[in-house]
Amino acid sequence: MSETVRADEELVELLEDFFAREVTPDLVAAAEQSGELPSALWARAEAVQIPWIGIAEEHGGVGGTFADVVALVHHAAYRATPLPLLEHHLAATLLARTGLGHVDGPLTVAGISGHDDVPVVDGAAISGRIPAVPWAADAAAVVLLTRDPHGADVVAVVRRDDLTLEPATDLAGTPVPTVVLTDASVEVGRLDGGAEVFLRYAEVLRCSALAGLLRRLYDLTSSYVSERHQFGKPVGSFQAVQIHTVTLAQAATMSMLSVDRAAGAVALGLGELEVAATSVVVGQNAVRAATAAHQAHGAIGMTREYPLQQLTRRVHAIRQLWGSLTEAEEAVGLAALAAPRLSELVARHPEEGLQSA
Amino acid sequence: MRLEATELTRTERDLQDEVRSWLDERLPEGSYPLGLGMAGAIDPEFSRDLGARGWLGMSLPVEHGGHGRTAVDRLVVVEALLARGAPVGYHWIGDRQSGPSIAANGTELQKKEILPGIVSGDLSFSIGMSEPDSGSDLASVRTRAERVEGGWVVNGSKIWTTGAFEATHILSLFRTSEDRHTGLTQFIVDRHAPGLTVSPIEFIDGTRDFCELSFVDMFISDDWRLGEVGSGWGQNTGELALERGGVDRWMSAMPLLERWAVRESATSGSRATAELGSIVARCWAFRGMSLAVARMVDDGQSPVTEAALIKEMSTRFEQECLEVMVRHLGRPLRTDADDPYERLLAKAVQVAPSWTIRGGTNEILRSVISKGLRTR
Repeated sequence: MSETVRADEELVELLEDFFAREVTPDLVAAAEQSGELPSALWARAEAVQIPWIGIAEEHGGVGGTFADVVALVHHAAYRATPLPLLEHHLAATLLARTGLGHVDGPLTVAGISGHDDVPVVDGAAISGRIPAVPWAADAAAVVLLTRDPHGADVVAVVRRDDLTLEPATDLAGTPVPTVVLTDASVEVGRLDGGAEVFLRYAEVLRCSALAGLLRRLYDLTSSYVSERHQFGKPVGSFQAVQIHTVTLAQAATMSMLSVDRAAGAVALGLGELEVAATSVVVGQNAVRAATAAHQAHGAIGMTREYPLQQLTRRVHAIRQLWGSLTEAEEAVGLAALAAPRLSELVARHPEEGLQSA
Repeated sequence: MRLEATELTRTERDLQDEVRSWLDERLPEGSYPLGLGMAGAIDPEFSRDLGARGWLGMSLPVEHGGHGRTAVDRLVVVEALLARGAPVGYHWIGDRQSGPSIAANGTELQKKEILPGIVSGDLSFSIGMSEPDSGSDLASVRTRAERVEGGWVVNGSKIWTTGAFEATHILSLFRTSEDRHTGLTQFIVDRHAPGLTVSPIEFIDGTRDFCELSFVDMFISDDWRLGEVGSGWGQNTGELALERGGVDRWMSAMPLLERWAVRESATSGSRATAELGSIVARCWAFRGMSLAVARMVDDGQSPVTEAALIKEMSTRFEQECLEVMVRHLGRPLRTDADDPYERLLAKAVQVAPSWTIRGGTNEILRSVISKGLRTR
């Protein structure tokens, strides 16, 4: 048997239709302008239970596989959806894995990033600052992945009323305030299986969002170069421009496949190498794709009137969201140095992760 | 474009183990000249040993000596061979493309006469395509085959034909009428036929695998025409199309990378570690793509655009790998160095430009990809 990772086809169709219908470039621009969550959009997503895909029914979700969640994040990103769907899913997953129970959304998540020290939780209260928490002003609660004083991985839930915020915005115009906790009351649960498995799960989803953006960059660019005429013909008929669409197709195809393979490994509870390799190639492809898309578009792509920038600014906002590309490269490099043969590491089956673990 | 994620099955992994163990025995380190991917050394004995194991002509039909196995099985074997820089030169072209093409387009006689020899590793093929005035514009070939009683008489020349000197056969494309595309026909030419002269052309690294072929009134029986008269163009372009997504398009530098990783593990700085990681991550991604394309082939699909898409970027990647290793060496490369790693790297730097040229230049591939993407 060869394992394949495939989202439910009907679900994929629903996701494509929903985001195509509801998330227009105008809506994305308006959300950025207002700096607030488009709550009507969130309500419509809730009405078709999109935020609860991949969360088991016993935890208040609607069930679904990891591949379904990968698809959800991909299709949301494809339209530059200004909702905390990734963050909400990770938060709800942490709640489910710690048995902290269902909390109504939208939720956001903190403590995933390797950039920052997050406050340690001791007892039922917590103090400290957490930078760049997406949509924290509009979320019902912040779900924080942290440690207790003994170093155990724990999850802490802080309700909206128990935190204060210092406003900040990321490159895509998404509000990412600093959360300030002053003796805030928290519910705490222990994360079974440890943070590492969860962080790999989260990383695949971040990469899936990038892959969704890259596929859209390809689609948008290939239709633009077939419509835009210069010198009496479509600019896409020039080989010099075709290089850019080819680069975009390569970036998107490689990224989506890598995400699916990494998701397959993570679904087995494994995927150390697969996820790190995916972070590397998707991160590298993202930059190349953004550059190629802009170059193929020319001046119009530089304007806020045209939607390309909504995508490329998101690429830059999330491409090193939780860690640097160089760190990801080093992680794969260390695995390679430890492996008896490079070629056999590259060719290994995800299950072989069991033996090296 | 979307490629379906796939990994090896249990049986395919068993084959992988089997090939690796056999190679441990058959090719101990230092016992053979390290090769760079498909340009591995010519070693008929090694090719026959592989054939005896059932690892040549794997996908060819059983009734002609083949093994009726899958494209994925072949990928597993080829990947293990290229990882070691094995001497694959003698059988490479016959195993990869001439055999499958003859199986698809050949007469019963041709299949009976040729395929068992490809499967056993006794026959070696070369491809007679380019001419002095026809490179990427293959449809412009001018070497003519004129009809005579019982066959054809060929006049003209072919150039840049890899491996022709050592080959037993040359699968050649000749002009049989003036129609640009439908005037081309393929023939299975005996390398030692009277009227054919093969002269080596010295390659950039001083090797002599590149050849020029001169045809002067060479007679070839009509029995050795491959496919219908005028169908050569389609057969010829179809031959390579699916193979462009193979592991050989990103593994040329693998024997070097293996050795570089070992060197770096002794002295590793964080920059080298990151560069190695970047290379390994991309190898992993390319391998996933090659495997997905092989599954598509086994599934009866024709992933021509996908294969071109992979080749265009993975061959550039191979060249980038060299640059990283060269920088870490940090001094002029010597082909007469004591260190075999440095000697191979020095060779690789010279031959690497061919990686983005052979089997369809990157410029041609971009056109193939663009056309393929537009018609989706």
